[in-house]
Amino acid sequence: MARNCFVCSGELEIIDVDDCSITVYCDRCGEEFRIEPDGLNEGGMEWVEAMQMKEDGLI
Amino acid sequence: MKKVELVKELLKITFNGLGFNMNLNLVKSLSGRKFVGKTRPVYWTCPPSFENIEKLIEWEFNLDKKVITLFDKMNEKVEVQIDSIPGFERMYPFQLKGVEFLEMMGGRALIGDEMGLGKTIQALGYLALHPELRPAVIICPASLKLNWEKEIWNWMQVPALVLSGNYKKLGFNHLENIIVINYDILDSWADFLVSLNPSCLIIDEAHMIKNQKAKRSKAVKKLAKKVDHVIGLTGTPIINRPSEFFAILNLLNKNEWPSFWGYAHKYCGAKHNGFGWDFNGSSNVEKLNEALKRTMIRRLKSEVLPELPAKVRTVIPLEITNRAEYNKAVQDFADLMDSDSDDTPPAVQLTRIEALKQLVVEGKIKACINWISDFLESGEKLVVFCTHKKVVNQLMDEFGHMGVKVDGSVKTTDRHESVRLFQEHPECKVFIGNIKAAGVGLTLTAASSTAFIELPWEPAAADQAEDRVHRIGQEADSVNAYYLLGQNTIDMEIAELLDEKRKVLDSVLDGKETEETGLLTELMNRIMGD
Repeated sequence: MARNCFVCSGELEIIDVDDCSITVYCDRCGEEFRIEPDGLNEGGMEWVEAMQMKEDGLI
Repeated sequence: MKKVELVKELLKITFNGLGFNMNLNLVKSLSGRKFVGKTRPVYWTCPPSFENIEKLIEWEFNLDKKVITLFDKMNEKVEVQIDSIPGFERMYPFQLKGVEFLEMMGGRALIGDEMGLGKTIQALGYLALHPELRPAVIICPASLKLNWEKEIWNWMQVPALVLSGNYKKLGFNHLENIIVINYDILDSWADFLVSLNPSCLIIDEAHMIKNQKAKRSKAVKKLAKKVDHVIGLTGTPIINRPSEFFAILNLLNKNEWPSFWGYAHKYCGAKHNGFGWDFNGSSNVEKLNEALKRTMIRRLKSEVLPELPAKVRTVIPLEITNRAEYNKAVQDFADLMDSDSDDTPPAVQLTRIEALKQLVVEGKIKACINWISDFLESGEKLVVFCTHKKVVNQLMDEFGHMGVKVDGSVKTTDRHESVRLFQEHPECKVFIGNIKAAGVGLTLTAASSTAFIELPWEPAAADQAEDRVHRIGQEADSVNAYYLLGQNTIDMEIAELLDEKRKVLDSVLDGKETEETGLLTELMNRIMGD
């Protein structure tokens, strides 16, 4: 994932997604962020993949 | 001898003898007065405004019969009562009162209602009441042209002629038309419009002609010169910046507002700063308020609250600048869909829909920025919702100096600071946020209007975002939600679907929401024309 935690620079994990946002979680500091679909600075592809994963029941 | 006559539509003031110097000083303070020294006895003239005559009475001048009759007429309020206007039965009572005011003023007045109270509808109500006043010309900011076209169609069921680009010959008859044009191109079309002899002129966001030397102001003046019915619309409170309103007041009623010099000294807190005059202040506010009543009607939201619904949703259609690219993308999309098999994953469809949505945002962002700028001219605060970080950043580039953002990367503590700034700082006018990240839990009640640039797929998300500006616990409140949508694009389809879903949800008591994928499927079907 292109973006690290905004607080501790730890690695972010996608834990939820919807039509307007992605919810990410930092395992290191425990912070949770709701960010824009293009908030990971990679053009929004992670969001599309996450939506597919949600569709498949993987998140 | 101290007498006042009405000659050639001007007051002719003559005096001599005892107290000459004192009278001279008094007459010099009349608005728009001129000295005529070629004849004997010498005399002064001034426009026959209410204020000028009132002063002359106070100074014990003898008024001739014609002047007294004119003054009585000004004092006498001819109440006009309109029961209803065909097609405008949905108008609120206060809006009907606005039309009555226009009627009372002979179609030459300013509607200065606060933003969101429906000035457009009142102006259209007047046009509907007077079908003989055609052609009618509506001048507005570019970002509002399509909105006027839409409202004219919705309320009057007539197509408007919307002008764009520089002047070009039009090959049909326009005499029955309502013509909509934006300020920026008015100069180029002015001669053509004058040649049509318009019967009514509506000047939307009338404070935009504040600079009398600007091209647009000159073009408006040129057009208004021979038009009997001129209606100005503005939500910007005059009292805060009186100097910006002289041009429109003078255009509407030359007699009442004859000279900028007099107006500026009386109402604009004129100060000489050593280099020149500064007219940016305000003074004699109460007197100005009183004088404005003879030209303007202004109602605040708080005054008409009981008549308003809790939420007023308005779609603002905007033209996109990349129409050819968008149309091609829609065609490619349809071709791909045709070649898809039944098991094409939803994520693929989603990617394509997203690509279309992003194209629309790219194409309308300039128009959105213009619309927001025009809105902020009213002095009100605004909460803007979008989805993508790219859009948040574009808006911040434009409005960052007067606004705050809450996007996903803003930490909780910083969010509170952004909210506090927006709520408490008078110069912080815009709040920009993601529908979900900023659409839940934050209280942004310093504003009573929201604007959506990108749409969510569930009505609940939009509703929650709209509710950020609701005053919790106060039922007596009315908020405006503006949806800035690309005309004839996927934006409109999504908005319609959201609205349909809303209706279903509203009608079902236990309101179980449709699945998000439901909207995606419906959207695909719509685009494919099923």
